[in-house]
Order: sequence, then structure tokens, then C-alpha cells
Amino acid sequence: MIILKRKSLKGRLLLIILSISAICVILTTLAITGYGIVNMRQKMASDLDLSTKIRGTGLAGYVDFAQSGDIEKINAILPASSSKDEIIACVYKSPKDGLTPDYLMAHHESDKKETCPTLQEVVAQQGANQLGNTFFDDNHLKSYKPILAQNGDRVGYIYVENDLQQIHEFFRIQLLVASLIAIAVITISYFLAQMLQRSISEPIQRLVNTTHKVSAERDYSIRAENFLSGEDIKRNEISILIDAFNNMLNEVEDRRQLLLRKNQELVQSKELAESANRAKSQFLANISHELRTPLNAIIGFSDIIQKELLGPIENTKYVEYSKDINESGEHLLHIINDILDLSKAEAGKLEPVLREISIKKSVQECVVFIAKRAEESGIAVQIDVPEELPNLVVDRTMFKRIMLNLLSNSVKFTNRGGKIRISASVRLNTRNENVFSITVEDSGIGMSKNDIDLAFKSFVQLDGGFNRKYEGTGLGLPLTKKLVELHGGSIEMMSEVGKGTKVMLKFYCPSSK
Amino acid sequence: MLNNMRHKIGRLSFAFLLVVNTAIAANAPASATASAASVTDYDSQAVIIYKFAYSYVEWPQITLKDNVKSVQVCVFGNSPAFVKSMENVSAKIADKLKINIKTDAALEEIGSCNIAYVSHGRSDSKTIIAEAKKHSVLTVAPIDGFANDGGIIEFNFSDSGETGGVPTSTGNVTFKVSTKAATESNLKIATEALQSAKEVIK
Repeated sequence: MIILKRKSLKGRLLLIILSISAICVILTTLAITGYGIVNMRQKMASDLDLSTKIRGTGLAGYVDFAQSGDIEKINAILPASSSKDEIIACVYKSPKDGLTPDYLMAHHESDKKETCPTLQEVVAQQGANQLGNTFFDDNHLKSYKPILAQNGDRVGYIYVENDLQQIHEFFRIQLLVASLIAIAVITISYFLAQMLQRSISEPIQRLVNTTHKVSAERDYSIRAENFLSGEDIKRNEISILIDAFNNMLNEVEDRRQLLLRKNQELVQSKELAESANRAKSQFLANISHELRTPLNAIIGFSDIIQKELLGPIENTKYVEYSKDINESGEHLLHIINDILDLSKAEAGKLEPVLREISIKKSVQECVVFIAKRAEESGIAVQIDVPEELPNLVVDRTMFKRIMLNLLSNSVKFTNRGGKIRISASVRLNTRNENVFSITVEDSGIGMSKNDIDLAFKSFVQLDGGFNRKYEGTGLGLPLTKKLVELHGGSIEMMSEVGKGTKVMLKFYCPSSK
Repeated sequence: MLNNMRHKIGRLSFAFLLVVNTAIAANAPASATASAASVTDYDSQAVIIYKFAYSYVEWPQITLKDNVKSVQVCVFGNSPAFVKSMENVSAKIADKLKINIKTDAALEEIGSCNIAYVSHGRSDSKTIIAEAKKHSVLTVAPIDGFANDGGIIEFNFSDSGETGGVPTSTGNVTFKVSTKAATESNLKIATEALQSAKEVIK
């Protein structure tokens, strides 16, 4: 079966057809030979039975009277009727009346050195054997017959033994003929099978070739050729298979076309969206620039008024208002700067200028900016940056912007008596890069996991609404993220409501060692 | 060859016959005439007559009675040895063939006979033959030329009763059969019986 499994369809069909033919020929031959042998044995037995009886009758007078010279006559007659199968023929005198003695009168033997059985044996066999007095025994055919006078009186016995040369000869010839027929039938079967199997294997082979072609060329417009058409298709399994395959190809082709169309639409939508975003960023950049110019005037002039540079102002309320104008202007400028930077980053117009900086020094400079506010809010700021840390290669301004954003967030969202800690470390990765980890940790109000994702989106502040407690545009974290990513680094935020927030930055610089 | 032979001697009287046969075969001179005929020869003649009567001859007037054939044997002339042998045989086969023997039969009585045995020395054998033919009587005689004279069975005495070392059942007695005479007597003799005949006169 395994041999059959590994064979091609053609091979299988040939093997099956040839096996069936061979089995049929062999079984038929066996049946015919068996029947022939049985038949032949029956015929041989009945022939011998009759011939022995006739020979016995012909000898009755000689045996009964047993006159001088009769034995010569019997001896002369016996071989004359011998067939080529006969091994021995024996004639016994054994009159029923017992008037004369019993004895073996004559026998004729072939060159096969057989001897006559004893008279007792002959008497016993001719009477006792249930198979009749002619039967096969030990590869011989034996016939035991009484010799009867005309009135039916037994005067003696005759015994004839044949060998089975004839059957053996028949069997040999039968075997030879059967072998020749088997060879002829199998040869004819082979050629017929070769011709007929094509009707099955060829359509399948063509189908296989088509599948190979389709998969090799990725051309789904190719179709397998069907040898039937119309209603006839349903009448043949292979035709149905080919039809189903073609339908499947149609389906695949339709789907592929649909997919291509959808993909194209998606690309177009994406391009549209991107161009819209670019337009938005461009607009924001332009508008920010345009806003900054009048704002500078507002800040400058309000500063002059607040500092009473052109002479004292009588009513101190004006000074106070002008201070408010100035602070509001500063705040607006800060927001506009953030928007401008974010827009630039999104529009791909922000290019970092890389320089080596000392992390500790930069962190200290940033902390100075928030130190006053922290002090006012009663927040302790701790810097844990080792002195011996290698220099980081970044855009100095952007790095300070990143740190400042994170620190001001921490100050903003940490209650009185809280704590802010800045730490940094470095390790070497498998690509021989220095991986700098800078962590800003606070004991502030924290946020939930969902909120962390939201926090990195532009213009989103968690504590939304008019009554919000914390000021800000919500641009800080998105901008920070953009700036870190511009450096090929990453930002990760871990936070828990009520327990504080931890932000971890990672920068990668090639190791100088 | 002798190894395979089986001498099955059922009856004591035939042991005797065998011994004599063997003796003749070995060295005894042949007895060519009836006067020299031994007891054995008479026995043989009786056996042959029995075989013919039982198996091979059909008389128009004899039918089976209770499945047993009854045959009247008339002996013409004085032959006590033959009568004795015939009686011996008759006694042995009584269940198959009933043989009645009439000794010293007269020619007038021949009508009641089935077999007429003309003993050696009867000179009127031809007369007996002629009479016998009228009554479908099987004529038998150990007389040379009997068959040629119109008799049906003529016994002869050969030099040896043996053939190739195998004893025959009838010793050195042989017989001639005249089917011509049998037909004239309205008797049927089976062909098997003629196989063994030394001569068949047709």
C-alpha cells in the first residue's frame, strides 16, 4: 500500500489494472487446470475401469479352462492392450467353485519394475474398497476386477495399474499454456491500460500543471481546460473538480481585484489624510509665527509699562494690570512655541543638532527653572546622576526641553510635601551601544493605564473641563515624545493613581570604547 | 515370477491333482492314450465337462430350476474311473450345478441325456453321435478323431500339463470342440470356451 501511495496516478492505475488482470488470469487458469485434472482423473478412472473389465471378459475362457498354451495366449494378448500409462497388468486364476487351484496366471509389466500384488490383496481390494474397484491410490490408478464367464461366474481376477504420467503431462502443458496466456494477457492489459488510464490521469495531470503554472506565475487569469462542457460536466468527477478549481480561481481573482482596489483607496485616503495633516501643521506653523509678532509687541510694551520705564504711574492698579498682561503674554508665547515645535516635528521640519552634553549638568540647569516653584509648593527635588556618566549625544536645546517638560509636569501634579527624583544610568547592549536610562519619578497624583495612552495625544489633558485644577495646553507630553523619538530614543511611562508617576527615557549612543 | 504366484489350494483333492501335475511336468512320460490315462486325466475330463455344462453350453431343453441347472450325464461304455471323478466333481459343485450320472447307458435312453460321455473302447461312437444329434445331446469322448467324426468335444492328452512352469488346472488334458456338430445338435457353445480349445472344428 505504501508503494501504491508513493506512485503517480498513472503508475497506480497501471498497477491496479495489471494486478487485476494477473489475478484473473491466474485464478481462471487455476480453475480450468483444476477442473481439467479432476475431469481427467474421472475419465482415466472410468476408462481404465471399462478397459479392465473388457480385457477380463476377453480372457475369461483362457483363465477358466487354463489349457496348456492358454498362458502363452494370455501373455500374448496382455501387452497388446497396454496403454502407455500402464505399469503392470496381472491375471489371476481363482474359480469360484474351487475345483482348480488359485494362482497368478500371467502378468505383463512395463520397465517400471512393478510387481503384481498378492491374490489375497486383489480379492480384498476388489470387494472391500468403497470407491469401487478402480481408484487412485498413492499416485497410481489401480483397477481390480473379477474375470467373469458368460454366465456371470467368476473364474479369476485381473489387476491393472496405471501411473499418472498423462495427468502430469497435462499439468505441465496446462502450466506452459497458462504462463503463455498470462504473459500475453498481461502484455495486452499493459498496453490497453496505458491507453485507457489516460482518460483519467491526463485531465488530472493537466489540472496539476495548471496549478503549478498559476502558483509559479501568480497569474490568476489562467484557467484549467475542461474536457467536458455544459451539462456534461456534472457527469464526471474530474470534470467537476476542474470546474470547481476554475470557479475557485475566479473567486480568488475577484477577491484579489477587490483587495487591490481597496488597497488603492486606502493609499489614497492615507495620502489625503497626510496631506491634510501637513496642511494643518503648515497652517499652525504659519499662524504661530504670525501670532508671535503682535504678541512680542504686547509683551514688550506691557513690560515697559510694568517697569514704569517712561515714568511712574499714579494709579498702581495699572502697574498690576500691565503685569498681568505681561504674564499672560508670556504664557501665550510659551503655548504658541509649543504648538510651533509640535507642528514642525509633525511636518518633519525639526532637525536635531547633535552635540555631546553632560547629563548631570543639563539636569541641574533644568532643575534651576523649576526650583522656585518647587520650593513654593514644598516639593523636594533630588538629583541622582553619577558624575562619571559618559556624555550623551543629543540636541542640547531639545534635551533641556524634554527634561523641563517632564519636571514641570511633575511639579504641577505633585502635592505639597511631595518628592521628585531624577536618576540616570548607562549600560552596554549587544550592538555595542551605550543605552542611557534617565528617570523622572514623582509622588504625585498619578494616572490610570488608559490615561497614560491619552496623555501622549496632542491637546489632551486628563483633567478636562472648565473647572480644571491644573493649567496647560496638553501639548507637553506629545511634544516630549516627538523630541525623544527624533533622537531615536524611547519614552515609557508607569503610573498608578494616587501613588505617583515614573517616566523613563532611553537614548542610544554608539559606545566610544 | 514365482514369488508372486499364489497357489491357493482350497480343497484337499486338488492338492493331489497338483502334485501329480507337477510330477508330470518334472519327469513323467506322457500318457498319450486313454488306456494309459491316469486318474488325474479323468478328473480333468470331469472338470472340463462341468465347466462346459455350467458356463458355456446352452441346451434348448434345460432351464434353470431354483437357479440351479440340472444336467443328466450318460456314460456309454464302462469307465468307472471317469464315473468316480465325475461324482467327485459333482459332489463339490452340487450347489451350482446338479449332475446326475447314468452309468452304462443304453442307446435308446439317449433322449433323456444332456451329455453323452463315450468311453474309450466304444466302437459305436458314430452311432451314438448320430442318435445324440437328434436329441440335442452334448457328445464328449476321450477318443482321437471323435470331433472329426461328428462328436462335439474330444479330449486329447498332451505331453505336458505345464506351461512355462505354471500348472494348468486341467493337467495334460486338452480338448477339441466342433461347433459344427454343436450347431447340428442345436446346442450353443460360448466363444470363451473355444479360446482354450486345441482345435475348433467349424
